[in-house]
Amino acid sequence: MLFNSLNFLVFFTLLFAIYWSVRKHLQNLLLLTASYVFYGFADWRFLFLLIGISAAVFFLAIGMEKAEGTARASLKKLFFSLGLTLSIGSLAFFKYFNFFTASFNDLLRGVGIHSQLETLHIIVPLGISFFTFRVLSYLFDVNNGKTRPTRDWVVFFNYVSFFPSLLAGPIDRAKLFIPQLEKQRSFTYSEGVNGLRQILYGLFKKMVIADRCAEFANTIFTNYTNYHGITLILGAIIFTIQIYADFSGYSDMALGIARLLGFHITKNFDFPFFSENIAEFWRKWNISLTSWLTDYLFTPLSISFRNWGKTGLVLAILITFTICGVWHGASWTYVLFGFVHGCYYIPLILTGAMTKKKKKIQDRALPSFSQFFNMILTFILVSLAFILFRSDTVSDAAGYYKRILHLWPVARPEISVSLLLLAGIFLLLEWIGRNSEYAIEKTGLNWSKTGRWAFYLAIFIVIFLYQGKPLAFIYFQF
Amino acid sequence: MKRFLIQSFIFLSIAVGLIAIVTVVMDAYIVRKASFKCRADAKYVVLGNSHPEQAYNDSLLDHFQNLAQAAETYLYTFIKAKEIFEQNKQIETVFIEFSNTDLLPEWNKWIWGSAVLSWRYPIYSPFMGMEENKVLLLNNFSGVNNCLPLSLKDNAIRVVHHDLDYSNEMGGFVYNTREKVDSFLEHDNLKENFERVRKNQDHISSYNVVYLTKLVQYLKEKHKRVILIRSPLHRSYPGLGNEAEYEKILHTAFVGVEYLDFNAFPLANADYVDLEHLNFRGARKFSLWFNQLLKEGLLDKENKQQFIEERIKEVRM
Repeated sequence: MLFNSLNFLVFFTLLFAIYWSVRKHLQNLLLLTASYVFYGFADWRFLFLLIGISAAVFFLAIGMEKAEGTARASLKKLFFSLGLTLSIGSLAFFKYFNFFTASFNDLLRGVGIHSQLETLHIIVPLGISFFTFRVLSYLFDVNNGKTRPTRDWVVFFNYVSFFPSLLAGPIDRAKLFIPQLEKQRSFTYSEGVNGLRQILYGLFKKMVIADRCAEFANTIFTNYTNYHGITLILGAIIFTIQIYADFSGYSDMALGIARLLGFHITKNFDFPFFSENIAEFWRKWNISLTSWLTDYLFTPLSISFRNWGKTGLVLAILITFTICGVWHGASWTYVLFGFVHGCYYIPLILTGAMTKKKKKIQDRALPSFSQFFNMILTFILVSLAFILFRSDTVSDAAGYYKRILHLWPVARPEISVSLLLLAGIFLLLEWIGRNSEYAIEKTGLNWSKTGRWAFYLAIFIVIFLYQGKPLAFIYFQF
Repeated sequence: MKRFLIQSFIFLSIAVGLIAIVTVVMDAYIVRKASFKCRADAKYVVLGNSHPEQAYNDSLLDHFQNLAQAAETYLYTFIKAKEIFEQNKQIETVFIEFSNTDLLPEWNKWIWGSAVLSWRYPIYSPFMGMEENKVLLLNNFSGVNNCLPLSLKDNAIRVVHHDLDYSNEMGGFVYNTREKVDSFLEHDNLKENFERVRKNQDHISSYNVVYLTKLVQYLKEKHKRVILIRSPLHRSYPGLGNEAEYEKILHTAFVGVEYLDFNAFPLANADYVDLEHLNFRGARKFSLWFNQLLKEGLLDKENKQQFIEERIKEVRM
């Protein structure tokens, strides 16, 4: 069920009406039922996996707490290991089994050994990477004593499967989300309006920007051999805008829906296209994943490698980003996507720029020349890496890169002016609203009610006009 | 909460109302200004789908205009016909293609399938009545919903550019040069397909038949002479498997409606595109012959089908 579908509108209107007319415990039960209906709508069979993992981690975490400080302390370790094995094991099986098997076969074939390891017909459960990372963070936090395990199964199951963020994040942390489930929630007018405004902007990003960019990017990436270098460069740029509008549009809708239900979930994007270097970009892109990887992977790795100085840091970054790439999908294109981003960090680590504080770009109406240059450079680097992300195979990506260099003789780029204009207006809107949580959060707040409503109506009508057959969100596949 | 609900309701009402008003006003303007003009000398027209579209070469037929269009189901023909016959009083006789193909249940997807809607709905939505909208909404609600903005955009562009001449949307003869019959005869499971159609012949596209009856009724009310026709189909065409059902419907739903069957008109494999459609050669042969029949007063004969069969025999000899 897509957020931008009629089914969801009916589903959510019903839920909203019942949700605010019942008490807290019933609210949680209702929310859990709604989350399972939402998830089951895509494929009910995977509900068993979702419920199974939730139940196992719920009891294991309680077991870990009970075992702590007793004579059976080793049990805590056992429960923790069991939880990790179960979570990572199911992710590895459903998402990576075929990839590893095929890669292993290729490797053996490369050294002349004929391998007959069979791949399986596995359907990857929707959102598995997101809910697995959610339970993993819970296990880590309980193990480290940062979070006390909840004894309320409805609360915990809700934490794992909260439908607005179940399929494509943000990946909320237990210590931020579980307390919200445990207390009475109240509806406020301002939060409700803010939620609707954020949903409206998310819909605009997804249906107007991302889906229009998708038409162009899909054509270019599918037939890249037919296009000239300049059009391929534009294809990469438009895809970068598409994936941002798609993913951040989804996140805005998720945040807005959560607000309407009385929750605050983690902000996932902070205008990443205005970053001056790659480190800043990742602090602003898919924030919940980046902070997850920082806390549970990069930090422990950099501590382990601390004696190796900058080399250790480089190694930690490369491992972290390669895993970040693998998290996105079971394909060598994603592995390379992550690795390339890791490599982008190396100059920053070597020059010490990674930790240097930049003057906030937010403070100025226009960026300085050097800030603008850095922003463009970062955007180009990111767009180049997204070619790997979008390509079906590594050889396709290599072909795309190769053809980009075919710039001579100069040819007119094969892109419509209206798409360029649309992308330009979108980036301008983002730039103007970059000091807010989302671009239009504060737009029109000090205007008259008529002016403000006219602005929202204009967005609504533009969304309606650009509506077509809803396209799935890119990050659903992860 | 109460304030939030009221404000949200008002906002949504304004937004939906605004879109509805713009749509209604624009549709009314299009209906008033749209041109569905046929040729001034067109006394005879043919309506239907790709069969008549590719069979009647109207450059070889006197006072005749081909208004058939590929994949056009009777629901859309009905909507189109209402506009055409309001604006073209010179048309006296309407030939409507009705063949075995038109009964096949697959035709439903050509009425409300999403791909078809995205193409037909923007063109026909201003001219659609409540009944037609109801049929489409009941059978593909989300498809229609997805087409609403497309329709609004396309029609706004039409109005702005004052492009309200629908003569290009009305259909017309298609000069098809392909000839693929031999490969179909060689590779297709024709017998199996024929049997499949024969066994399932009671599964028909009832909406298609219902709208054909509506079309016939409408034309009669407009005092037009309506003649159902069956243009030539290849003898190996598996769709002929529903012949019994076809005959049954013809003699129950269309009692009193004139009917001419040209299915037996002799053509070579090289005269067909495939088993259902004539190519330019077949269309030329058939159209010249049909024109001669009209000149010889086919429509005034007492036993028209007998006359046709006699003339077919002559062609065979």
